[in-house]
Amino acid sequence: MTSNRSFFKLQRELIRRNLILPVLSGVGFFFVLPLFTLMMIQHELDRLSSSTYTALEIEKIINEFVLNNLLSVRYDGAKLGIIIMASLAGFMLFKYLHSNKQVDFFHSLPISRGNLFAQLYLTGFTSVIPFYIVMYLISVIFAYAMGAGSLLTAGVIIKAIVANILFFLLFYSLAVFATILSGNTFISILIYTFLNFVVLITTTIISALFDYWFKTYTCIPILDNIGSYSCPLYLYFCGGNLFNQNGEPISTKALVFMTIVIIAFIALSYILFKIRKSERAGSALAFYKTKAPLKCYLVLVSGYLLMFIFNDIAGESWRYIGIVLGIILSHMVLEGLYNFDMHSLFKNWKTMIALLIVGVGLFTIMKTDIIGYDSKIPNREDISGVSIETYYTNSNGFASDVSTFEPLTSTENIDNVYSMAQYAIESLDDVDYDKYYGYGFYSESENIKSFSIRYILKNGSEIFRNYLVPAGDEFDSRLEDIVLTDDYRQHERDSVFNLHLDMLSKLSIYINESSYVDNISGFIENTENSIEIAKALMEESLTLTKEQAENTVPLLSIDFEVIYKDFYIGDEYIGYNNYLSSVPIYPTYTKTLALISQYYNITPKTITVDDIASVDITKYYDDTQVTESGEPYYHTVSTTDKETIAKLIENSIPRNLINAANPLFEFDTIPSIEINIVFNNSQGSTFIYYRKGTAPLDLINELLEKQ
Amino acid sequence: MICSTNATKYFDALCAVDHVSAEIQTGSVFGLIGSNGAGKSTFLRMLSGILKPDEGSITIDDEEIFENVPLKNKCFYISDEQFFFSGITPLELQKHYSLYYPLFDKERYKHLMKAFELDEKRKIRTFSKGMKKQVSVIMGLCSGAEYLFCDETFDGLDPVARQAVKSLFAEDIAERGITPIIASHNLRELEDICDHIGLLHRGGILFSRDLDDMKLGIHKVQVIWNKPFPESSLSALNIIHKDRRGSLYTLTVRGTREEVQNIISQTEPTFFELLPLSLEEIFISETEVIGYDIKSLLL
Repeated sequence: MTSNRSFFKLQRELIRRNLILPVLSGVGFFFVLPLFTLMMIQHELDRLSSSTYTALEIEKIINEFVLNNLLSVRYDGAKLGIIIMASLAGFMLFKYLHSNKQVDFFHSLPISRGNLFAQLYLTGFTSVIPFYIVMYLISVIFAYAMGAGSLLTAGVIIKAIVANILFFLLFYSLAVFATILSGNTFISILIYTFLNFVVLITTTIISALFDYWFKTYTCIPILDNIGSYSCPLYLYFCGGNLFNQNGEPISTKALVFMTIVIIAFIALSYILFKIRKSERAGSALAFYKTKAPLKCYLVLVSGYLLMFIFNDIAGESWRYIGIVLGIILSHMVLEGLYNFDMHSLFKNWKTMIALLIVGVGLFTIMKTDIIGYDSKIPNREDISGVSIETYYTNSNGFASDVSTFEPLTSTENIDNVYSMAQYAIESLDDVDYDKYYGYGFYSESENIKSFSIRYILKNGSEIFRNYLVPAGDEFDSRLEDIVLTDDYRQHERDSVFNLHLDMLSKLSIYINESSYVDNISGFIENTENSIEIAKALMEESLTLTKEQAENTVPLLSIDFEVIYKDFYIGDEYIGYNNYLSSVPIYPTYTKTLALISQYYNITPKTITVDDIASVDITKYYDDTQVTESGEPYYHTVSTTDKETIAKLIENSIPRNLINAANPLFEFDTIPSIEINIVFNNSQGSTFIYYRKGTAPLDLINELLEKQ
Repeated sequence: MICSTNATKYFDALCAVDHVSAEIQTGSVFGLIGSNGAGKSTFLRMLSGILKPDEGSITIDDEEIFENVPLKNKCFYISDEQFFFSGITPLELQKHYSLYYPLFDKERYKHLMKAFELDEKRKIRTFSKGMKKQVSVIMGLCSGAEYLFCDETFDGLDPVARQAVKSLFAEDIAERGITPIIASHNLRELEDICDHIGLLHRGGILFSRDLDDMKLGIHKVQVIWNKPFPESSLSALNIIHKDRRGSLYTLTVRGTREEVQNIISQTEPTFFELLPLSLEEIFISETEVIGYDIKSLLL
């Protein structure tokens, strides 16, 4: 049985003996690929022919439809077919291991276990994949024949075939592995399902437990990555990171990752198949040594899972009831399954008691932070960079995001962030984290500041923490020191530095003139010009001094709309872009201002009385002073008097410029009062604020009292 | 030669085969008998390389059988509960086996199928239990294997087919020197064909002997005395079973015919007859000695 000829003869014979697989594959893929493709193209043609589209537009839409919905790697019908056939093949070919009669038959034959494994494994592959490829290619031919295949490039076709074959192998190997691991097909299906989700569930539960146990926990990125990348179903249907969504060939990283996982599962299955005892047919698990650890794992996970469910439904007091019930019920179910006997539900009750103690004990002890998670901070000398995410609230109560898209690496910033973390650790007992994050609601009333830190260590690892500190100078002064450094400005998330100019395919700029804030007054669509402006802005934004930041109002606020190369198919935009809004242009940014003037002839101008139709002043009263219908009590006065308007807009700053201004910029706000200017000719309106110490309070009060 | 040395097999906590040592000479017909659950099938599955002994070893021609493909080419296992692929015909099964057994004799297969009046193109699932057994035996005999492991092979065969199979075995033993190892409860059948018997009980082997030697070493004696049972005079006899109906004693004793005759004669019985034991009687006597007694089952 060792010659190639015999090998292939036996292969053919095994396919013949499992003829249902090729038949199902052929019929199934025929329905989901050529037949469905034809039907859907016809359906779309009928739908579009009755619309107002031109023939050229219809052709374009149909081609995109075929590419995006039917014959690319994203087509869910083919994915479903692949998953079903892979699972069926794995179970059908190896389920003989679950029957004593069949085990005796196969294992008495003069063929080694290794060879038998190879034969059976290959049978699954050869019973399905050729039919998939043939049906896929027939679909492509149909699409071309119907004039809907112009976007089906070789790359798209190869990617679809390669990706689906790889996922077939992944699901097939998992099914084979699950079938070998068990002595019963029902249990194999449970194991197969379990294998698909085990890591995702584990990482999710660990993350949720950490979140409950530790005040400063925010995330462990490797857990999220492992969780997502270890769930084949998630990868297949939502694997955006693995497979670009634009018809590009499968990435090398994805190919290597998938191949390694598949090889690992095949190798593991091969080894287990060889050492699997024939007499284990009919038993729940073929490898008895896996019983206890698997049970412990499942019981504890079930306990904590039920704890979270009970907590969500009935509150904190039900947590322990959830753990206890989860452990007892899952232990009973597992014993029942292990022994195929409902009388065995309470078998090994001592283990159940031990697991109860472990489950409840671990949950209770960890809450006391016995491992010192919250107070743990890396050694300063081990840190190569830090990222921070928080918000800075100026004296007006206006909060601005402080966050970076790449880590801060300057010594002074690392020192500042480090000392903020140290301050937060010292304040751990002074701040009620549970109250602050209770039930997912943030509460500003506690006068507390929150911030997240990502430490990047020199060894490449990362540590994430989320801290709360009492609001005050201790926190604010350090933050102020950070936001004005070049290091921060070059890495600020909401900044022009985060545009990735080398990656974009289209950059547009929307310019908000100071006088017409809510209406876009300029639009630069030319990408090259926009890039030139962005580069000038990068250069000039680093020149802003602390004094300017605190005292200067920007002249313009501009928005960037970015469309990246990766989100195009051919020339057709398929729907992903990004915005960067409220970017300030200060008077000192002369180069940027000159370019804006050059490309769109826009020169910033201040609001004049002639631009304004009226000014509305609204005063809001105390929340307790409400009308009978429950509405807050307020009243608005309106003035069209030019002289009054001139006084009201003197030293005023429109809202869009306040939004764009540096977080350190201070201005006047009037408590419970909003001032809104309405422009002439229905050109919109804007709220206004005042430079510090210049708000015309007397005039405003006088106007309010007159009414 | 098949050699089992302290072969032991556990199923969880249960010791199904307990340190069984036995030798099966090539060319002999070995009958494996034993009580229910004695481990006959398990032992047979170990001999055919399906199960790996947890302790000890099973060798055929001085080589371990487990995972030994060249050696397994010489072996064919006919299971008590046979498996056939769904919808398969004997012809397809023959082709299947031919892929594994290079020496498969297709001519003989055709001849035997005809002789047993089996339609080779009919689905095996439509066959009766006996016909399925016949198909398995035909496959085994035609496979070219030197060692046939038969688990309850005669069960379900009609008398004619049983006789035919026995004849075929005899023919192959004579012509090819095959070694059938037959596990069965039907001791009458084994008595006809086997020349060597292994008796298993509760996982352990009680004995493995030549059938003729066995028969010569154990006897049934029917005797009447006109005096009380001469216990002291019979102390030299190895009595393994004693039964009394009126004045007639029926004894099962070990020893040669001459020894038994001499000792009984010295007690001056009024009636004395020495009878040969059937294999079934030997089985009952031997297992009764170690407590497997029909009386205890009924009680």
